Amino acid sequence: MALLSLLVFLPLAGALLVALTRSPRGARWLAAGVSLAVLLLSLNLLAAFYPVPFTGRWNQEFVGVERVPLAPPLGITYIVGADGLSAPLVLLTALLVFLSAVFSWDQQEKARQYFALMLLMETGIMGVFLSLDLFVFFIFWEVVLIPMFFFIAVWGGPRRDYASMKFLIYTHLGGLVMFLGLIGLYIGTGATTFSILPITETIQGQTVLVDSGVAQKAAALSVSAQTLIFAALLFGFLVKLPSIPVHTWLPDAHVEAPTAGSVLLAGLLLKMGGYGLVRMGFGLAPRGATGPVPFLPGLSMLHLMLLLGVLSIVYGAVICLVQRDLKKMVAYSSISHMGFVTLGLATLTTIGISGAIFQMFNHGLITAVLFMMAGAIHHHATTRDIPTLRGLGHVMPRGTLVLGMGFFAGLGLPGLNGFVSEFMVFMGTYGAYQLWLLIPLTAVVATGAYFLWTLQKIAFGGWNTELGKGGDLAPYELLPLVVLTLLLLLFGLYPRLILDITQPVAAQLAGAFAGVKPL
Amino acid sequence: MALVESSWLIPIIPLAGFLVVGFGTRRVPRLSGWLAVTFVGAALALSLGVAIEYLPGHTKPFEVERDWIVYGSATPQPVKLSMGILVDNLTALMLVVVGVVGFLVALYSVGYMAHDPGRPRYFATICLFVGVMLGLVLANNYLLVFIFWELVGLCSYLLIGFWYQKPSAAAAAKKAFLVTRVGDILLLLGIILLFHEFNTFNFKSLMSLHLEPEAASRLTLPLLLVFGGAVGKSAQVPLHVWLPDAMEGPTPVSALIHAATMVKAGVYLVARSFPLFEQSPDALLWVATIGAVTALLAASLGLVAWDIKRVLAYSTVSQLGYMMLALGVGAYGAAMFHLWNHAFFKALLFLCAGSVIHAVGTNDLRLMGGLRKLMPITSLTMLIGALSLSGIPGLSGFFSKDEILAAALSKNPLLFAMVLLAALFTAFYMFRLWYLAFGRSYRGAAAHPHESPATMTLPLLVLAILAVVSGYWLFAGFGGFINGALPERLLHGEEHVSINPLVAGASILAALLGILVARAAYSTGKLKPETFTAGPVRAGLHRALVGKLGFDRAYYAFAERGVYGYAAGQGWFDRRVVDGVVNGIGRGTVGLSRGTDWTDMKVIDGVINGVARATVGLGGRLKHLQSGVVSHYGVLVIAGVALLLAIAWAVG
Repeated sequence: MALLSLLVFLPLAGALLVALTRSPRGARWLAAGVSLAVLLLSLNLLAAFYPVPFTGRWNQEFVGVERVPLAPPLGITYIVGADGLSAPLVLLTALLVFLSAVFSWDQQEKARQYFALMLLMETGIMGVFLSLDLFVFFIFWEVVLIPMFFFIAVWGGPRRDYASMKFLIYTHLGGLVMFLGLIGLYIGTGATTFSILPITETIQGQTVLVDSGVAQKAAALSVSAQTLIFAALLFGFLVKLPSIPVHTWLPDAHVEAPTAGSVLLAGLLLKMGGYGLVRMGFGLAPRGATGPVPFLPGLSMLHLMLLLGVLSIVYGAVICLVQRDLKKMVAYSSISHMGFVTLGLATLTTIGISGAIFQMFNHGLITAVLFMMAGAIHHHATTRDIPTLRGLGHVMPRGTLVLGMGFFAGLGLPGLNGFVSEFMVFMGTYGAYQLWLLIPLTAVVATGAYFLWTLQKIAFGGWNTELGKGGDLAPYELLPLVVLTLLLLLFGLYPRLILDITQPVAAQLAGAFAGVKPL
Repeated sequence: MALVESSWLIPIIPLAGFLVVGFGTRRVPRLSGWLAVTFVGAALALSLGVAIEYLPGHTKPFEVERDWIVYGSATPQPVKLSMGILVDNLTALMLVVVGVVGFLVALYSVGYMAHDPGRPRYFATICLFVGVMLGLVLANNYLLVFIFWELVGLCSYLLIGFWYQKPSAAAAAKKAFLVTRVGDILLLLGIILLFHEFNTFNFKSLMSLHLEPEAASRLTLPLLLVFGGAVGKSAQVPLHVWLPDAMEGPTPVSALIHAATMVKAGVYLVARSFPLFEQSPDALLWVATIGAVTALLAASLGLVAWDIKRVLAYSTVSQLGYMMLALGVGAYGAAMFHLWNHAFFKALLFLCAGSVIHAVGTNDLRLMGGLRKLMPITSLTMLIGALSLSGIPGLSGFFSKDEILAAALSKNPLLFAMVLLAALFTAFYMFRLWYLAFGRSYRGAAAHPHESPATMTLPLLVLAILAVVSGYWLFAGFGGFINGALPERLLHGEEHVSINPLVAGASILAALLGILVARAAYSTGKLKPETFTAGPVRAGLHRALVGKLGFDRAYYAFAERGVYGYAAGQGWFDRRVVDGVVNGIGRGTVGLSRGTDWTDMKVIDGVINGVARATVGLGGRLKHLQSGVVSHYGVLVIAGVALLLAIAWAVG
């Protein structure tokens, strides 16, 4: 059964059908139904990776590979396949799209277009995570941008024109530079194929597997070529992640985007950056990762990632302290949390890489809770302004409980999922860079400070009666949030559900770099 | 089957209680209290059962664990981070402390919180706390301890902020969480360092290490970091500032979390790590010094507080300092003995304070007085607690404090002098409190202060009995029992109980002096309290103490001006500079586009239009050439050919 193709194209078919419906009611039921079907399929995919519990050999193969040549002379092939890196992200995608569809149950304005675009976006994201062909990957990458652009531009807030344009230009520019890197791989390896697997073999088979005693063969791609390619890919993916200093599109996009748009943007689109870094950056230009940064010969790419990761964590956390708009604060907290991905990858340790991948998954869940709550608070209390909000605990007890769970997951409270991945990244960081760990650790206090400050201001105290009567979560808001908060707990208590799947990818990647020193 | 094999159930029971009370009693808040008492009581029963198995002192430790995270390469062997429980004599002691105090506080709360609409939330959180606190003392490795460490912090946050509509409570909750979090990251760093050094978080593996002096020196930094975590949790100087503010929470919470159990977690952790600390003299010296400084500093801050709970909070900080000092001078048994005794008499003191507050509706000692007649049980039990804390012979506090003083003297006379002075202060502030609350006549505004209901006085009586008798375990082999948790190499034959008459005499004198001065100042009136602040030196000292020695102000300034100011600056930077550049590029591009547009319209189109116009015009003129006269054409043809030839010649 063509499981992966179904995952990619079922939402597209759904999108077309939704576009043909006549009422918001039909549109949302159809969208929820299709996205639920996709969710069940993705669980089915995950099942292929179990039983993982450690049997001495981890599953390192791609699962469900399908192959259809598209343009044989150019070497463009439709190939999909899932491994321990993509499977959790596929699950996350299916989950968040379904929950967003439910959360948007009340969507009246242009509902058909809204739900159709949501499903179209799902196709794009699934395609990104599952394609094993660089060209097809790039097509899907660009497909994702269009629905998101319209989400912000059509359903957005007052500054939506500015925000949507900024989003489009930024990510498009990033995508372009990334595409240059992909083309560089295509031309550089000279194999006339865009397929990732043969390219990996060409590159890894000749350069990276260094056995002591065996002379290193000539590289299929010189280190300097790989460095240039890695630099281009890194730029593209860092914009997407986003990392300081190419991050300012994110807060604006989030502030203007409708709630579901924010959930999908932060929950899924950012993960495309982290995914790309592992799959393409480290996977296809490994020598580039340890090579020097162009124009800065004293600094290796890896150390650049260390710096940017640490910087993003601290900078994002500190700037959260002064935000007035709840949604903007959550947006900046995303930058801080995604810094852990960059940092974890930069450690090139198994636990660090595994932690980085898990952090992507966890951040997707946490940020979905936070953005949904920001939307619900705006809806019920008529504002997101932190200084104006007061005493939510009084009128919104359920919502406050959920918000508290999200905040505590965000500040890395053990027992919830965020702690596990952050802890793993910390372990990796100490292993690779020793006391550099102090800097992101300090950010942990700042993170606690901004979440608790905000909680104190908006949830504690008496209700601000200027904000009307207020109200608690509606059932269609409560359901997705309850599911998400239960998952925060589940993956916090038993992280092996995901870690055992990602572990082989991390071990393989770290193994490939074993003994390789940056620069 | 030994009961200890089901000890993993101990934390599970209250956690189940958390779910049941939290989600099941919304409609029937009356039930929440008794349900919580039942669940905590069940955990207590099982804890006592397990502890009894360890009471003989020679029972083998029990450990069971499961893999939690597995990573690394499959060959030769992946790294496994495990979660499990370890029960030994130290665990057994802590289980009893947490279970007993938890149960009595839950029972007391049934009366204390009887009229609060938020009861289900309160009792659910109490269950959660008892569960994670029991988990903390059962954990078999540093990582799991850290996990529970943060979770007890969460419960503390939730319970300090229980009356969330009160701004001061909300602020205190946040402060407690953040200040302890500073310690928490030190602890996290410390255990990561330990892991990288020894490849395990497991207590048993780590504590069985006996390192060469050179290798042991590498322990100092990780251990100091672990101690940093303990400083935060156990409110030692300089991270003591959160505990007095934490008194914003309901008083039973202060008794349970902020006196008897959670704040002991720091002491427990250092005690648990004692076999490692013992190998690093530098780390031990730090522990002893911080402990002694804290004991004295907090005791002196307690001299001037007017809030009945804050006096007790400073007292708790000070007593925790004694325990740290004991560990620092190597008196492991004395530290744990004081922890044991203190849990009961301090919980007793807090619950008595709660009983008083319940009756008079204020925390302010100036608005109390004369309660001895009105609240006989409370006044008597509090007197027992105060005597025990002050170190009057025959009560539990005397025995353990005396051991600590003796151990301090044997290591360093300066440390001894500091804590002896602290003992004097302790007796003074305790009896200042007691006389202000119970002596003379009532000064407050409440209509008819009266004794509390039985659910509240019963725990007081039980704890009062414990505060008297718990100390006699010393003569029934406490030392041998608690040393059973240490590795062989740290045991020096049979423990024998001895009381150093010099130390005992000094400590009794200090206690009596403190009590008598307090009596003279606040009861008999032979000494005017104003004399304490007479003269510039005394007044200055008093002002400094009332100002909490500037710790709070300095931290506030750092957070407000330092961190927040920096954050504001960075916010500006992000908006103006980073985004300024982006928008500048955007505007530049738009400007460029406009220029291009203008060029397009004026220059390029201009040229094209011009060319077109010129062509038309030229055509207009050229049409005259088309005259229809053949001879004209002939001339033109010839001229053309000639031109071509000329060009061909020129090029060729």
